Amino acid sequence: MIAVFRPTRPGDTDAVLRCVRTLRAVQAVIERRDCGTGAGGFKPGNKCAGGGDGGGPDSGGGSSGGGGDSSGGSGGSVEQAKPGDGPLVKAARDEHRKALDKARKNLDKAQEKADAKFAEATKKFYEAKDAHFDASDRAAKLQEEHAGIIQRLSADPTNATLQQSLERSTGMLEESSKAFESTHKAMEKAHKQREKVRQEMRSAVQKALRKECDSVNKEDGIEDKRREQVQHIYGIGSHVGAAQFGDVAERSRVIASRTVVQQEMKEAQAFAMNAVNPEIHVQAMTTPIVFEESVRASATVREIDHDAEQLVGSATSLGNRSSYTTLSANDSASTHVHEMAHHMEYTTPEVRELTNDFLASRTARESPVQFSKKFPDVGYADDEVGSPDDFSKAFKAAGYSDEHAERLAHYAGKRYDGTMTEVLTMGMELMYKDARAFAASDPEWFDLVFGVASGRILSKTRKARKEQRPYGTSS
Amino acid sequence: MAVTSRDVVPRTTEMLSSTVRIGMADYSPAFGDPLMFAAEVLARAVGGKVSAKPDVSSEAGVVY
Repeated sequence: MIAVFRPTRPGDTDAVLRCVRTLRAVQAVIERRDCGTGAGGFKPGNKCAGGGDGGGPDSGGGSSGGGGDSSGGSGGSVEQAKPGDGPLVKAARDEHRKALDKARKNLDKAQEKADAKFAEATKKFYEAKDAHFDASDRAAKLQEEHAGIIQRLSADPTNATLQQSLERSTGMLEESSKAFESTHKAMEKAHKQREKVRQEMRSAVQKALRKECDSVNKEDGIEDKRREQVQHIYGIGSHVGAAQFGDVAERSRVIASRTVVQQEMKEAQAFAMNAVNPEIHVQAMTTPIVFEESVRASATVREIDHDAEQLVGSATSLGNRSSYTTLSANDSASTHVHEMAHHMEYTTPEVRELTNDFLASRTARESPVQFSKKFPDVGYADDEVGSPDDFSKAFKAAGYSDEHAERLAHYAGKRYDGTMTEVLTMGMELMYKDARAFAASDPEWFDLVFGVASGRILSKTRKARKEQRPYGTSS
Repeated sequence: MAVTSRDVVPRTTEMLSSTVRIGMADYSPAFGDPLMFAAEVLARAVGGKVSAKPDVSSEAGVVY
């Protein structure tokens, strides 16, 4: 079974870099009016082909959770989940309530100290950013005035009043340029400081997450053997370009060797090694990666029985897989994590049962809306549909603006065809960005994501693993 | 953007590049095309917006 998450609007981030090289190009991009919802712009995409079985034989929420067929999409008429759906996640949380509460408490404690520092650094960063953007606005207005004076002066070159105005305007413009530069420096400094503190925070959080993964494996009597395999693959990078041949594989490896790409990849891998249980999610963690210069990240997924030992974790098996992740050279670690989560969802049937169940439960009373109508002029395709529930609170808690949080919340509630969701992917991004804020703002969603990543709430998968039988077969 | 002397252009360009890099830390695949998101960051940095329609006030055309 193959599901392809494809960018349908070919990205070209290099064009942006070219764009910023000339101010003329910058001006061409801009309409001088209020800043709206901004870009976005993905067209018919993320089509999940083939549908899915929704999981094991006793799956209650597998097919209902997707909520709708997004393929028709133009009228926004999609199947609605019914209120009352979604008992699986509740049951899983109830079953593991004590362990989840304890794990959340440990996480909270681990992050508490770093959190105050991070909040302060974040506050300073946004203050610096606002100051910089204000300076930018002032500079832009002054430039317009300046250009206007030059235009009038060209029609009346001897006008002394205009000449004086030009001199005054030029002086003001130079001052505003200086302010623009100094506020930019302050913003960069604040950004670096925030990232430094964020790293400290992540380190503390990841220790707590790792503890939970270890605890799950210990309870199940599972030997910690796949962690080493994953570490080995990450170390030699054999998963990069492994799903492809010839030029594509070579290009992937060349891109992956760049310092900036290495840095993001290592950061994502460090997070995965702590936050994700390799004894359960080994396939997702070692999914081959294809790098391209500029592309919207995507996950091409195929269902694999995670208990099939012959597929697990050896370098030689990598080339035989049809699942892979496509990443851009510019993608950050959180995007790496996002795409890995697609594979986590797809390679373990129980995860899909839970995520679909959760989506159905959370969006039961909502009618999906077309993103292209909700966020016009930013390029969403007509078949992109979803609803936000109150997912936005978690994004706001993670520091996103209200406007971005709303868009992200809609995406978290995106409907495919009942097999895939964006619940885990967006949740993993949140856990990567700020796990404590995520846990505090939306504990139900956090428990699902944390429980899936650590394996804690995957009772059926864990049972099958202990008994060393394929998932979905009787014990 | 204020352009009052020759060296302001490369300096401003460098600053805008840096602003875009910082802004891209917030990028998620949920925002769609990274180019469009980067353009949005850039537009915000200079007090404008990305437009899906041609800007008739500009002779240079529109990137969208």
